[in-house]
Formats: sequence, structure tokens, C-alpha cells
Amino acid sequence: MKRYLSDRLPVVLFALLFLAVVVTFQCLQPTFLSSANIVNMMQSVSTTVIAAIGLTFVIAIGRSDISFYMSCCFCGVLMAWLVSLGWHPVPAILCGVAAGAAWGSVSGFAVGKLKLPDIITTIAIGSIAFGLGYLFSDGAFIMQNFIEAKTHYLSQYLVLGIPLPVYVMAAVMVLSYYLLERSRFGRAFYAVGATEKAAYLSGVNVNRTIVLAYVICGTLASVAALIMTARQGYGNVKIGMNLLMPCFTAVYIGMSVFKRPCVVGTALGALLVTAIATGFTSINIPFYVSNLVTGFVLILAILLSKVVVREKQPRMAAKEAGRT
Amino acid sequence: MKGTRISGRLIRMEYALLMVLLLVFLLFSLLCGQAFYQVYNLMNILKAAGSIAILVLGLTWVIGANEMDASFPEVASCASMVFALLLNGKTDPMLAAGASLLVGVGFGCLTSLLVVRFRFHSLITTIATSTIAGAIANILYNGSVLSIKGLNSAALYKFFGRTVLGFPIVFVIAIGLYAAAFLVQEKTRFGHYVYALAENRQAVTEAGVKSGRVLTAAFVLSSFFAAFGGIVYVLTVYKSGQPSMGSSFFLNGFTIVFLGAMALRLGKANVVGTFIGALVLSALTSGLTMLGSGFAVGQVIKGLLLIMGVAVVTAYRRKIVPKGSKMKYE
Repeated sequence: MKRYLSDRLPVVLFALLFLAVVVTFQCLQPTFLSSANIVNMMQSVSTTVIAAIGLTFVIAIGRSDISFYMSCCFCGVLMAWLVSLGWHPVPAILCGVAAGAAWGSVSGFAVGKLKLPDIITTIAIGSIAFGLGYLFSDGAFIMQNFIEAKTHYLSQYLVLGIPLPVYVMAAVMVLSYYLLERSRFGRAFYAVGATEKAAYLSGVNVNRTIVLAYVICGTLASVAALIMTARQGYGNVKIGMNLLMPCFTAVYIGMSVFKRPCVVGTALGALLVTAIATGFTSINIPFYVSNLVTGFVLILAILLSKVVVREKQPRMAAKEAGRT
Repeated sequence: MKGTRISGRLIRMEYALLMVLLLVFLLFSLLCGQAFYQVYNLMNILKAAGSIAILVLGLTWVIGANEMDASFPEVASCASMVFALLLNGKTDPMLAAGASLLVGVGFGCLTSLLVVRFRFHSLITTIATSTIAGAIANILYNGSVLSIKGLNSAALYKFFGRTVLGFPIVFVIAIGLYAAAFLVQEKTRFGHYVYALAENRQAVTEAGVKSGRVLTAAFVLSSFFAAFGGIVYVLTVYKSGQPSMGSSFFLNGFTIVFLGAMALRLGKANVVGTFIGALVLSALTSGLTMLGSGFAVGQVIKGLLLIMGVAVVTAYRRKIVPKGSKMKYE
């Protein structure tokens, strides 16, 4: 019984926290739970979820990726540039996603094959990608052809009253869930994250798994950036710069609720982060205040995972257990 | 004699960063011609190098202890906003500077509390604290630049505008701080423990070193110097509080520190290397500006330099591990 409780406690705590956030904003702003705001929230939650699920793969292998939020800027502005050249949106979108996969594989190659330290290397690669994003328009907004090409369909087209990105998000979630948690392929990620040596000795191709995690992260981040670009209606090279914090927060909230990086946890975390962000926007409080709150929520989430989950620590925490 | 062969190779590598510095100067003297060597421009390079060097002094030891601090850019912006706000509130400039430094120390304490006491991963912790610091910097003046009234008449401002023997005072201060830091790094126990922590944390702890205190000191110093750097930037460059001053420091700071790991103590971030790294980066920035190259070129070159520094660090650390204990995938 005690065991059961300690397993469920984080879930209950999360539900209470989420409920508290929703009720607070509903009290402050009666339109918070209106259908228009819910559709709005679904649109913005979908991009956070898509990018954060990519990050989940990298956290699952016990690494960090600081490049995704910068390399996806390159992808967004690449798509905008191609559209402004008169391309049909579909090949432009495919090019953007391919660029995301390419940047992901560069990070993966550096970390997985060359064995460079993950954090600093991805900062460098991300910065290079972000810098190259300035080549298309030197940082200016790209808006030619955007309305004619109907790019906004990517973010606003309603299918059965629900915007298209939500379907993309659902597809990404289902695919990643089966890939990461229901297949042998996915076990490899957790195995590498737990102990690389043991994973190697039990036949996992460690290096390939690391590269794959980074490719998935880069690809999904680029999808998120493309949707965000479509929503904004012009190519902006800084499109993804605000993704870093929500994505890490989402993954870590998921980890504190389900004790390991997982798809459902990440999605719940992203939901909480987005609820806070849209809530503050709906009562006309600028984004930096919600950043402040999100920062504290991230710290709270990790604290919870440290206090409630003593056993079954993730690799990062286990590695540091020797420290006093 | 395997040992001597390795050390023989290391001695040559230790001058790599000075070569890079020379190379940068040579390259830009070819590309820009006389203008690059004007005394005015050289002094500007030294001034910029001094400011950024002060900002990343503490970060050097955090990286040296194999930890991570991603919060220093936002701590600098937060300190700059606090400083500007207090100055506009007619506070004595020295008092305002002291308060801003205390803000930096506060963020350092928060980070080290979470990392040392609660054993958070330092990257995630500092992402959180940097978000908090950035948010506070924005909240203080609604997210806009806060220009300081009557700064020109303040004694502190005049002090930072002075020169010593023709050198900008920021550069002189930076040299003084780095000389002191060099003594701390080489001659005190704190300096030795920082590098010992990077090698084998458990062994250090079991040998009776209070490694938590060493880490706390490293994080607090990192935030303190970030705040110090933020104030220096207000006084020498911006003349106003800048809530988003930090965005350019992120890549620059890490590039400087990891380039620095190529000098003196090969493969380890150290203060002498960081100082040379700051000179390299400032010369590079100045030359690129002179050539009129865009943001992209600078970003790509800095990114490549950072990867180069990291590669040297990694190659060195790999050398420590005996070959036999490595798996095939490693």
C-alpha cells in the first residue's frame, strides 16, 4: 500500500498543481477556458510537445541537447526563404524538416561518434546553425508569398474543429510512444542512458543510438519551428529562441512525475508549462513574468523528483550521487 | 619513456592558443591593412577584452571543475538592470554597484544550493536560474532599456573612462584581477581542489576534501564576476541598463573559456588561457566588424573555435584514461 502510494503521489501532486493553475487563471480571466482560448492553447501546446518529445529521446540516453532550439531557427527561416522564392509549401516544409534532421545528425555525429562532450559541443553547433540562419535575409523578416502560398494552413487549418498541429502532435506522440517505450528499438535508448557499458555488452549499438537520438531531436524541433513560422506568418530567424526553457521544463516535469523521461510525462509537462504561459498572456501580463514562474516550476519539479523518488534515479542524478 | 613523449607533445600544444592569437592578428592585418593596427583600435580591442575577461573569470573555474554554468549572461543583464535602477533612484554609485554584486552572489548561492545540496544537474539548474534572472531583469523596467540619467558626472563613470599609461583602465583592472586569480589557482588549496574535482570527484570527497564548499565557491564566484562584468559593461559600453545584454555573452563566454583550455594547463580551463582567449575573441570581433562581415560569419567562426577548444580538451582527457579500460564503442 505504501509502495502504491509513493508511486502515485507524484501523479496526484501534478494533477493538483495543474488544477490549481487552471482554476487560478479561470478565476482571474473568465475567458481562460473559452473554446477560442482552448484552441489557441492547443496550437501552442502542440509545438512545445513536439519539440520536447524530441528532447526526451536525448535526455533518455543521458545526454543534453542545447542545439535544437537554435538549429530549428535555421529550419524555420529556410522554409520561409524557399516559400518566398515561389516554392510550393510542401517541398519547402520537407526541406525544413530535412535541414532539422541534418543539424541533428551533425550534433549526433559530434557527440556519438567523435565523443565530444554533449553540452558544449551542441552549444557550438547550435550557434553555427543559428548564425547560418542569418544568411537568408540577414535577420530581416521574410514575408513574400506567405499569404499566397497559404502557409498558414500548417498551423490554422481546422480539421473537425481542431487545428492541424494538434494532429501532428498526436501522430508524433503515438509514434514516439511506441518507438521509445514499446519496442526493442526504444529499450536501447534507456539502456544507453542507464549504463553505456552494460548496453554495449548486451548488444546495443551505443554510438548509433546516440546519433539517432540527436537526429530525432533535431527533426522534431524543426517541425515545431515550421509550425511556429506558419503561425506567425513570416520567416523570423529568432523563431525558436524561446523553446529551450519550456522543453527542458516539460521533460523534467515528466521525469518527476513518471520517474524517467517518457512521452506521456513530457506531454503533461508541456501542457502545464503552456497553461501557465497562456494564462499569463490572457490576463495581459508580459511573457517574462511567466518565464519567472516557469523557472521556479522547473526547480520545483526537480526538487519533487529528488524528494519523492529516492530509488530508481536517472543516470544524471546517479552519476552525481558520489558528491557531497 | 612514454611519459616524456606525452609531455614533449604537450609542451608544444600549450603554445597553440598564442599561435591562434598571432594568426588572428596577422590575418586581420593582411585583410584590413593599417586600420587594424591604429593605436585607437588596439586600445579598443584591449578594452573589450578586459570587459569580457572580467565577466568570464569565475566561469573558468566552474568549467575547470567539470561543471556547467549557463546562467552567467542573464546574471550580468540582471545586475546591469539593478545597477541602473539604483543609480536612477539617486543611490550612491558605489552602493549601487555593491548591491548589484550582491544580486550576483545571490544567484550564485541559489545555483550552488540546488547543485550542491540537492544534487541537481548543473546545466538544468543554471538554465532555470538564468531564466529567473532574465525574467527579473525584464520585470525591473518592463523589459525595456533603462538609460541612466546623469551618469556622465558620476565619479565611478569617470574612473572607468580613464587610462593608465595609455591603456584603458578596464584592461588594467582585468590584468590585476587575473593576476590575483592566477595566484589563487596555482598557490591555494582551492585552486588545486577545483581541478581535482574534475579528475575524480569521489576520490576527492573520500580524501576528506569538503568538495561541496569548493563547488559552492566556484558557482558563487562565477555569478559574482558575471554581475561585475555586467556593471563594467554598463559603465564602459552601454551607459544604460540592458535587460537582454546577455544574448551575445553566451557563445562568446564559452568560446573564450574553452579556447583558454588550450593554454598553460592543457585540456583544463584556466585563468591565463581565458585571458588570452578573451584577447583572441576581441581581436576577431574587431577585425570582422572592420571587414563589415555579417552576424553569420562571426557566429560560425566562434562556433568552430569553440569546437576546436572542446576537441583539444577531450583529446587530452582521453589520454588520461588507459587504453585497456576502454570499450570498442568509446
